Amino acid sequence: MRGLFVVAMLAAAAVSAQAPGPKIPADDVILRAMRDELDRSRALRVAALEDRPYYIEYELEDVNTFSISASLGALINVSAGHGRAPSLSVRVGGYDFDNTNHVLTGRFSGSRFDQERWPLDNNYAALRHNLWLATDRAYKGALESIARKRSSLRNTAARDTTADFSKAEPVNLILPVNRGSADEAVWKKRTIGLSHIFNSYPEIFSSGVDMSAYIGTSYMLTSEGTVQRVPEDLLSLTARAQAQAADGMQVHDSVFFQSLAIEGLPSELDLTRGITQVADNVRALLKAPPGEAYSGPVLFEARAAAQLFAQVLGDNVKVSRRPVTDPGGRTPPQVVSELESKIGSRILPEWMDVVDDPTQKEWRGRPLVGFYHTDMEGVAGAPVQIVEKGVFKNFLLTRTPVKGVPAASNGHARLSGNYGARSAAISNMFVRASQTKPLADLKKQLIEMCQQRNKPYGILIRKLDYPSTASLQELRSLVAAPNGGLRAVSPPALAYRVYPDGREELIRGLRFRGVSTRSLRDITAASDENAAFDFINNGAPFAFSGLGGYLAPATVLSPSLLFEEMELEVPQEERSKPPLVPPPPFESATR
Amino acid sequence: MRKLGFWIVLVTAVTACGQPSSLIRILDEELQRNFTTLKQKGDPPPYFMSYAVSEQENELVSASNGALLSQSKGQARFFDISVRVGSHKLDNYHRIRGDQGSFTSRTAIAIDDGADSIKRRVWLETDRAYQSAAERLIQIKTNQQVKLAQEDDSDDFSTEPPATYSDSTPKIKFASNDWAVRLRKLSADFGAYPDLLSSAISVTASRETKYLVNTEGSKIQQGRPFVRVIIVASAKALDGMDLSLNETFEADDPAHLPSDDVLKKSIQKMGEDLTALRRAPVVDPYVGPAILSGKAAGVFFHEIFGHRIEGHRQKDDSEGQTFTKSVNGPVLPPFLSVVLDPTRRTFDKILLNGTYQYDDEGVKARPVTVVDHGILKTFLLSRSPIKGFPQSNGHGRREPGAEVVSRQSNLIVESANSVSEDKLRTMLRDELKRQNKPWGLYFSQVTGGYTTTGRRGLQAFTVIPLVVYRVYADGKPDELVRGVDIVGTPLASFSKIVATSDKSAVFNGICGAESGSVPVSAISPAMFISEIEIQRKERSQDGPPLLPPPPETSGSAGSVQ
Repeated sequence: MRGLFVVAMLAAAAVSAQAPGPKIPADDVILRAMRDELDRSRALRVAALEDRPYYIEYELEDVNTFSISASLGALINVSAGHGRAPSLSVRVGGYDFDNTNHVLTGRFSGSRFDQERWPLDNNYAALRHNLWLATDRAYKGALESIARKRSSLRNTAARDTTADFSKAEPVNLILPVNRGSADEAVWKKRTIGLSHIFNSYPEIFSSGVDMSAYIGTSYMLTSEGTVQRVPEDLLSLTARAQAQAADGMQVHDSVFFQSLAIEGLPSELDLTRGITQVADNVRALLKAPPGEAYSGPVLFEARAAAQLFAQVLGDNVKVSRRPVTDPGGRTPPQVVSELESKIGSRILPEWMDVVDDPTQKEWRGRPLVGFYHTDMEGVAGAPVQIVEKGVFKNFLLTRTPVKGVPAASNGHARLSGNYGARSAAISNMFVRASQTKPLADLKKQLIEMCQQRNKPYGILIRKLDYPSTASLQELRSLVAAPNGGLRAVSPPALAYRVYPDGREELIRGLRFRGVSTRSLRDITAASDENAAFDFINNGAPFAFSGLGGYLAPATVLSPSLLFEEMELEVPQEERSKPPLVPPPPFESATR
Repeated sequence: MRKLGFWIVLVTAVTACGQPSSLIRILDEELQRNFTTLKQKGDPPPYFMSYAVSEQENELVSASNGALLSQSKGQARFFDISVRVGSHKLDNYHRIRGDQGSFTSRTAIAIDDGADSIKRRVWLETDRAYQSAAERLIQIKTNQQVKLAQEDDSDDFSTEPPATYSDSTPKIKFASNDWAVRLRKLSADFGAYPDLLSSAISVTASRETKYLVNTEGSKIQQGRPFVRVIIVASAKALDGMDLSLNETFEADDPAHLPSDDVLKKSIQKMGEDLTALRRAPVVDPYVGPAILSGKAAGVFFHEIFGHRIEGHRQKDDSEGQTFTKSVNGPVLPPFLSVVLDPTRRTFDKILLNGTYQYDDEGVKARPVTVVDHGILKTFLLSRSPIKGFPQSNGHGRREPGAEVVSRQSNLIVESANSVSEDKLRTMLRDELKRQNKPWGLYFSQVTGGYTTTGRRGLQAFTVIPLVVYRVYADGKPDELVRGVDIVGTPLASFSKIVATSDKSAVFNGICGAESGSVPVSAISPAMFISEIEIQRKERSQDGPPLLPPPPETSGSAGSVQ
């Protein structure tokens, strides 16, 4: 691969000051300032201590952001800005044992003098000044952490001897600085216009359209020899609508559009169509009867199947390390993967495969938003066979090794993690079936299965509420709901009863019960057509829209899937009464 | 993609805002519509409602080390609601163990007067606030606590005359790019002080317009321009102590801000002071005579006195109630008076931060003499009455999203025993000799303070000095020292005030309390205090940076392999 080279590392020794400097464009002030300060920082040490930096990583994101919120044809907020956010990491000790993976890693008792936002000018001296102060703080923090970690381990009998940091090939990738820009005036007008669609739906209580653009360049330099300058764009547009049925039940729907290219969002006509569909869905849900508890076959149309895999497999295909604590000390609650110790076990029918591949830019001419060059640790993204012939093969991995899992990163560090580690996330996840049939046949099969079991109807799911735009109140109730001790799965947004004559009836208010990675073994058939579902993963439960500090856009491709057995239930909860006062009449009708 | 949306940036400005009166109309129409229906159908029905909007426009430029740090522009509107069910005597805001309930939530509404959009949000907020108000009133009525005789059985809400007021503040003319050029240059001046670790200079220009309508018929629109230059710098002493200094300049228009010469002098002074502070000796805990500069005395009074005359604390059984029973009794030395005056715009040409025409409950602002020649006359009052004081005196304030309580405005300390600054120093030296102490302290600059007023904790306060000098009894020159905080208990401290200077100074600040952050000022002459207590400042655990600052170069060109 072009631009890849390896710097020989002296194992567990301090960073060599003689390591050859990588190629840095002469006019790149940011990378030059990073390189010069990094070279100087190799000498960091405290007289009485042996611990010197063995790994230093500098990262700076230079970003122009632009966002607009509109509701009912009015502007709620416009924001635009240029900012530079640094992220530094200094590791002391060595790859086998360092300052990370302790419960207090990252805590620093000292003070901070480096700025949170770095100068917007390419001012070499000002950049070095901040790099100097930030490196000093990171190094002192690392010394504190490794001291605490040693103290915690002093009285620990059986300790996990897995290395703290895996080695990775340095990646040298210099791409042009991002000079793109989004036409703010056009997007402002368009977003306001799109939000006006809801003025034709007086029964919708609240609605909004949010557009945001991120146009940036990411700079990275490490003491291992990685030098990167990568332009990154992400545009997204979201519309959501919420209403309350006469029985007090909240109903809502939403649509998300995202693109890695500034001009890549759908046409205004397609955006209008998608948003009108949201409004129509909420209108239909208001009129739909509430669902009843159900146990039996369930058919997921391709998009809903992709949404299910994004959650059920996507959230469990990463594994996090348990941090070192004081003996007898409480380990902080940690989300444990359902697939831990399942490598080699069958989790899907043997005619199914799952691959995650960040190197793919498009699929059948359609762009994939999970593409990237390198991950947050500067490691090149690599394809990973997650499931082969139904058998779970591997996790998505970062440079933090976990006991019992292959030690090397496969370039999937995409979200922030804890205790000095990053968190893995899916990129482009391909769910593939080798035995397929037309969707119409799946529907017939669903009806037959119901008839065999004397069920009046089967359930068809066309869309899940994922990423979620539920109210915080709903979200809380969902997180608190017992799901047999399992992580909750987003409820259906559009679920239908399918009667023996093929008729579909929309129902509202159902939730899954006990759905987990185990449920995937109940897949009995797949369709021959696929849908691609794009979303922006932010690491929050249900990818809840608006949360999370890091964003990892992803695409999941899946066929429609028929599950032999799945449970849906009606949540037991208090509902607030609809407002006493009727909604205010609209002054302006839709254009 | 690495990380996105990790900072909330800069809300940019928008199209020119609509006719202000149209927002008042939109709010009033929706208020009447909701109030009418809720009165008919609500159980319990509301007896009072109000809608308030805070419209904020801000521009900011900042620079550090000769480079631009940020340049932004923003506009936002936040809606707040008040719904009262029950009666003036007992309603949903009734305090139980100090808690008056919380019904509003800072809701962003359209910035362009889109009536459909604003009315929908306001309607949903009204429903939410009404449901929660009704629920709390029912709880209160079934709560046994209320049935116990309370010491203060005054009403929950006062009756005030409706007000109609409208002023328009012109848009601030702010030349952001010119400031970027100026601030880059000015910020580079700190380069002359290599001991400083961080420094920055910023300018903000903001205009806040507040709108309020209520069911008593009040309709108020008031604007306030505020521009400010903030200079900050910090360093670390060799023993690890963090040192920071700041200075601000306020004005109502960017054209009235100080010239570059004045700002350069301020930067120079700060650079020199910090450099000297790094090497200044640390003072051990001390009890003895001291002089507080006007700004320091202003903060001292804001903390130890101002917070204790806020009305709601007198009604709250969980509060220390230092002064509750002291009305018409002596609380300060007889030569001191304290006036809280939100109508005052400037003092000595300095724009005051605590100025407004109407408070956040729509009550007209007025000067309030709280202490007259040492005698406590009244408290700071919102529309929550206290025993003996059934009316508001225009001090109900809040930050958007919080419920109103009584707060300070412009606190002005007046003295009938003022002497020249020189004479004050002579008095200090005489007192030192009398107490047989080699030196006393002069507190020149402070950055703020905090106080606890609760009954459970200590009745105490802390004022955080930035620049402090030792003043020697034998007339040796003053000596800069570091590492002290002023601590004490309020009642003991007042009695030690001996005299004041004849020249007052302004401290403009932001005060944080139950109802959020509100702009305030404190104006006071310097004070000579016969006995003050200082404690050692908490010290950071880490030392100065391990490596020296990076060399002053522009960096080498790319390396060649």
